[in-house]
Amino acid sequence: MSEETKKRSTLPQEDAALVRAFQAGDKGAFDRLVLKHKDKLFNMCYWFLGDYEDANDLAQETFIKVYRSLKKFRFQSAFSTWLYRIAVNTCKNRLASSEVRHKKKMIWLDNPGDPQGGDPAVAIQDESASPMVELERKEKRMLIRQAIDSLPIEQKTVVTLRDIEGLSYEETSNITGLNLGTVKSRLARARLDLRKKLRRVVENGMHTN
Amino acid sequence: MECTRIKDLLSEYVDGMLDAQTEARVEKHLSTCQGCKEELAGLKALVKELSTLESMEAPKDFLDQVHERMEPRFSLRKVLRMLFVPARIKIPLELATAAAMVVLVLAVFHVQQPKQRMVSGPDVSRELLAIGKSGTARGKATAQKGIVKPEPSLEAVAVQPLDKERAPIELALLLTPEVSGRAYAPSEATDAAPALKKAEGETRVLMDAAPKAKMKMGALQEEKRGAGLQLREMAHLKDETKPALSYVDQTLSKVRNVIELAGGKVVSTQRGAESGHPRSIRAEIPAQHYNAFCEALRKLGQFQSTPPALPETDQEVVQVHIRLVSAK
Repeated sequence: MSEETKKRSTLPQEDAALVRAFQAGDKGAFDRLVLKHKDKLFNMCYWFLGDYEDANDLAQETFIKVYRSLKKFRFQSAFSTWLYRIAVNTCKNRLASSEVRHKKKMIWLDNPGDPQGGDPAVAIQDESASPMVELERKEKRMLIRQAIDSLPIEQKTVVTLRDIEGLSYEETSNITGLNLGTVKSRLARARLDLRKKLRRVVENGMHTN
Repeated sequence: MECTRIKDLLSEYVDGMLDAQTEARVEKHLSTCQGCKEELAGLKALVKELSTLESMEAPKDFLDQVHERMEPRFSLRKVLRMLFVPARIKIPLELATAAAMVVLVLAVFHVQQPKQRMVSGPDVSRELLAIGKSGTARGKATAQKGIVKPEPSLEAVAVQPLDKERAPIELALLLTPEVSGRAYAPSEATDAAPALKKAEGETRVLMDAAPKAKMKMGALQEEKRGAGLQLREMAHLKDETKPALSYVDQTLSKVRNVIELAGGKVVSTQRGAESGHPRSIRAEIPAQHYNAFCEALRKLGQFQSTPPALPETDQEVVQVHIRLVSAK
């Protein structure tokens, strides 16, 4: 998947039109907004939380919050910015809860080798790959995820939004409420940290490619 | 030293976020520094790796799950739907339930309020209106209503279930000087007492359970009140037995005494406009004591005509109107 395709393809005008339709009484407009943004939002929640079920839960919770507040949306920012802001805050709150921390610790202790091997979406996508390639991909994926998980939450937020979701610095700044300089510095620190942790994975890939 | 600064800028350089001057400075350094060049390559590889991670997709039924979780938010709508849909069945059902509740509440109210009802009313509305009014005013109102209302035909009497609305039985007591002129002797007036007492006892035992409970309770209430009145009337009688009283007044006292002994009560007394003498008495007598009551009256004076027999109804209280007619 190229970086270009990762970037949100939806036009802000389309979202605004759907929001206006919802505010005018068209309940179906909300469904269209969900269908349009659900995968991107789900992906962000997944990399933020590192768990498929948690990601599903929080992505749903985010849309429910959106539904309840959409009537009051005043278009002071793009709908997608508002949506991601709600999602990021929801995920941060979840991560801050001791319950999730405990749960994650339990998963790592039970199955430290492959804590996310059972993800249905991944299993479907990897069907065509050979067993060896699939194993390597899974391993790399696991290592990257572990490295991201180990980041402080502030760094994890910016790296998820910028590098995984492909949002611009400005969008990241709007979503997190941080100024641009802070976003840049946090992102640089996060990348430096990740590079140290993933040197073997990244350099191997660099040399093989 | 320059390498440290350049490494801090590499993240922005990768993203093309540096201004032209800074970017040129970085590129100049990179062209001469192998270490920073490798650092840049590693950083680019990392960013590429992160940006090409497989996207996780939401479950296929994601939207349905969202709707399912939002549903409790509309619990009020669900309750309304449950209550009123389909309207043609549920609304009549709810109206019937509401009507049943109203009847039930009125029934409970009725049972709990009898102590406040001095006279048992024939229907709920009258009873509700009567609460708070005095028993005397109530009795007068009932009596006046009896006067105003035309005498119902026999058929009407048969149909009418409540005796309060019926016209009183008219009795005319002819007072002769020989009889009425005698000094007041309570023993005479109470000659009929044993018979009355006996009849009263029978009444209490034989009181028909079939009529409505409210009627029974009302009648019992009247009995209680009658007892209270009896004391007051007796006290009143002492005043009326003064020698100065006319024989008509004395007879009136006796008649009252007889009414009380019969378990009845005086509703009103009418006096002549000029003379001030009592002309007639309206009273309520328990139906069971009616005959004994007539017998007791017969000892006080002569009936102008034989007292009519009781109509065969289930009434428990008989309204009587006793006219006192002085013999010329």
